[in-house]
Amino acid sequence: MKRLSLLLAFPVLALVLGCTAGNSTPQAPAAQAMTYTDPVTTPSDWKLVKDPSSTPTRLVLDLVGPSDGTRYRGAGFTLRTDTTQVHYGRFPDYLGNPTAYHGDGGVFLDRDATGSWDVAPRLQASGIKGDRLMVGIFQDTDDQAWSLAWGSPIDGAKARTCSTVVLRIALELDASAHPGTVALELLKARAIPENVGTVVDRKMVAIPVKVGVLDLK
Amino acid sequence: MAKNRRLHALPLLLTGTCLLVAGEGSSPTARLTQALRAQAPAMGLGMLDGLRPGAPFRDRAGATHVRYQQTYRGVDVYEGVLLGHLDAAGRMAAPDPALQTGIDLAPATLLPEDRIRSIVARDLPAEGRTWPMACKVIVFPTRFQGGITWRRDARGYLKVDPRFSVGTPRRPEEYRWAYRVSAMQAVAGGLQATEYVVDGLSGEILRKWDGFQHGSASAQGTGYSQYNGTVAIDTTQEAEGGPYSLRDSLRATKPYPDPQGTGWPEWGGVGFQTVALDLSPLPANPSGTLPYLEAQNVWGDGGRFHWGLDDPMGVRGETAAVDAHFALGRTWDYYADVLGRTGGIDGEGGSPISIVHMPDADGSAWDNASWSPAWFVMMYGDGAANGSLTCLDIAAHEMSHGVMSYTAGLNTGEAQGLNEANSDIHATMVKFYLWGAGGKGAVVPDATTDPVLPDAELWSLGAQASPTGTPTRWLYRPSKDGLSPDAWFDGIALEDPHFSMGPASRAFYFLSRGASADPAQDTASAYLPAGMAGLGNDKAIRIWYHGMATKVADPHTDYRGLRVAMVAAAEELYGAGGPEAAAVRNAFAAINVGAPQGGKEPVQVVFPEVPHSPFVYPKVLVAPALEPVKLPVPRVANAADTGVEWSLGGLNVLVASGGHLQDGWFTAPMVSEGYGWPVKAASHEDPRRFAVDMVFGVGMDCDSDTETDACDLGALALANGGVNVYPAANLYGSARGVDDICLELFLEGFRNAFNP
Ligand SMILES: [Zn+2]
Repeated sequence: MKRLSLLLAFPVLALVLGCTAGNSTPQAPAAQAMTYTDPVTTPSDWKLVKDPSSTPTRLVLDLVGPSDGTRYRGAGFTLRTDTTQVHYGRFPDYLGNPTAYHGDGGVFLDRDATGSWDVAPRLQASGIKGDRLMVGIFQDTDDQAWSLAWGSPIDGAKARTCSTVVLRIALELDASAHPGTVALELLKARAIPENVGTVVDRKMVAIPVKVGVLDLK
Repeated sequence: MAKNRRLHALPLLLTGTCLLVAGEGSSPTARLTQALRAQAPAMGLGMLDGLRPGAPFRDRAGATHVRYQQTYRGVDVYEGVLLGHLDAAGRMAAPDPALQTGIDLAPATLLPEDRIRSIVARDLPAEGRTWPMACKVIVFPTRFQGGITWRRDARGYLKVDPRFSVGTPRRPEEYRWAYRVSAMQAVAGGLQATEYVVDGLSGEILRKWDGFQHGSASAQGTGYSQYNGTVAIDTTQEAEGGPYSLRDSLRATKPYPDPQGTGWPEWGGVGFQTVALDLSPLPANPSGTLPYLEAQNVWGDGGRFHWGLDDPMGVRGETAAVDAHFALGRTWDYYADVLGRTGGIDGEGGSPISIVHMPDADGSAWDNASWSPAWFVMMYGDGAANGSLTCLDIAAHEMSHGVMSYTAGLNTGEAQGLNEANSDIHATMVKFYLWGAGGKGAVVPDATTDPVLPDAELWSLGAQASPTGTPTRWLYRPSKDGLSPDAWFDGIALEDPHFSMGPASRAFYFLSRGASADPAQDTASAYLPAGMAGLGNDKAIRIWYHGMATKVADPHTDYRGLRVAMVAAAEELYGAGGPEAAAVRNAFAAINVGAPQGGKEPVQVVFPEVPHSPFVYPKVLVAPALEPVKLPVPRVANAADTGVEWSLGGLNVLVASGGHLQDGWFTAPMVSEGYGWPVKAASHEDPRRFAVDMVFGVGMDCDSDTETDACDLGALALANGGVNVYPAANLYGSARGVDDICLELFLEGFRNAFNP
């Protein structure tokens, strides 16, 4: 507890030092913390909720699927925010490189090349284009059992319920951010339904993702 | 995440942890082996590494050279090679290592072989019968993971060939236990060999490539060949009073080495044998081949074989077999009598198989020939534009691929082109040797007498097989084909090896014949305007072969590395500071590799590698259509002005319209298929020096909402492995539909554009 409060004191200290350095121009006070209010949802909704690992300057948001038991094979979305106030944060990717713009929640698991055990799906992508964050995790939906000249039949990947964290994203406070509400706009969200084999057009479905409110203080 | 590992036990074979192998005597080779093992720690090898000697090679100066395969815990290490040398007095010379160091792998329970075979079978196109696949455990350096093979399509665009391309993300570990698998499969009428490396623990395919390198009691029998007139060929009477077969046991003195351990071909015996393909279904003839048999030991009728009209086993079919059989014998003698390689391809007298009348993959006439290192076999098509590809220089080209497999083993990138050039160079020398010296003696003459042919005809490949006499390639000026470059540039490895080979062939021509100072001549070089004098065929080929057999350790040696090896070979054979080493330097300078004798280092433009690239040639930048990607900034060495001029092109490929290049940023247009756009950066100071990079533009809007985003990956995943429903395009225009390589290209392109 003590350590935490010490850390919180640092931005204040930095601000004071900044003033004593002789900057006489009056400025609006910079925002020092992000607060996020989770959205109100129904059991069939997808939602972006605050992850407990969040700090005042790095807000981690969890994509959580419906709690009604529906199963999926992957999900992705495009989010827009005000990148003059906050920027998208990074995570280690599944090989350990700290370059991804998402963290894998571990819900969607795939079959490894041998069809023997579950692994993190290799089809993970995240990146930014201007003020947009684009992110998705998908099973390789080569989901049919296969068996050729040798060996025993091998099952494909199983669709998964998504009531826990599917993936994480992060927003980080810019040093120059000012207090106020920051828009979080979900431009597009799609998921691969469970029954791809019987969906005639093999298309993704639009998913309703509820987003909360981000305030800078 | 819970890993449910249902693994079958497979004990890894361990042969002990020491650096010694059994059966060491006191032969010079054994002493060399002992001495090298003593030096192993200094070369970065550990207690678990071993060195397994190959067949020793004794050069004409009496020095002995041994190529060692590196092992770790008793299994082969992929591309781990050490070249050891003993001089004529038996003293050890400094070895040339191309070793994989720092391996630290614990013994592990690997996936069972039948699972590995299933993974490979699943990856192969669903075609005809597959030959039994042998699996061999190896240690695989992950930096060799992945790999894109390019092909020009029928229109001349560069495309990814999904059959031989893997783009799986690079693993963080430096080494993995893996299986090496060689698959041979009937496709339509022909055969396709594909080589695989499969991760031993995860089953991921780490790498795959084309298993074919294309070129395109002894008795004397008489053969009526198409290309060589009436010739004497060495055959074998299969049994007392029985028929003769096209089996030459005079030269090949050991059986087919059966590298796959599958017993193929079941009829095999000692002697290299020329056979036909047998397409009858299993299990009637598991070998898939048919021997030629003649009661009278008289073969063929000298006429051209017409695919689809003539009977491959009939007298006309024998004609092509006679040519292939004859050419292999002549090439074998050239290697033995001129270069001292008496043991043929593997240096030990192992019997290769030549299969004639090989159809193309679609069952039509095949306009090519090939060598398969994994199967120890040569194959010859009957030609579409050409006649049967069994003429002397093509057969010599294929056998030279075989020798290469057991010497420098060049493969991948620039090395693959150097391998092709090596084959054309020896093929040319075989023509001089047979037609100028009657195939006898130890010298390659500089002119031919029977028949008398002009240089322009001799320094080319495949003219005999062409009805118009037009060669496939010109060694003295490769660009005469309209496609091949005449000089090296950074990025030449983007070319098919049969084009990237050009400058090396040309360097050898210069070394032998010299270069003209008259810029109007085909034999002049803008990189060596004053020209040079040549050394003649005999000296040139001795330097070349000595360099390849004794100086090139690394199978990935590039043009610059080859120059170093050839200079060393010339100095060793003819003395340092002599005209021979100078000629080597000049010949390479004339193809834009290194400085000429006494000259200064030329300007050099080189693109850095794309960071984290999953591709073996790491200078390919995958880009989503309409999304700008930044090309890496090329390094310009040996220049005061390090600026470059950007332009589209640089390779002789058709470039799809609409690509936009500005200040080193490239934007691909919306394409319905994946295309490669070569981008050239030429030195301001010396525009003759340039580098070529490649942007592979890919339509990635898989859900057709006119933009590329992460949801498109889901749309692509949906199409993978199922019916190809990907609407706008698939990523490379392959008939096979969406495939793993499409997903890998998507991930790479997405990262390049949005998460660099
Ligand atoms: Zn070739």
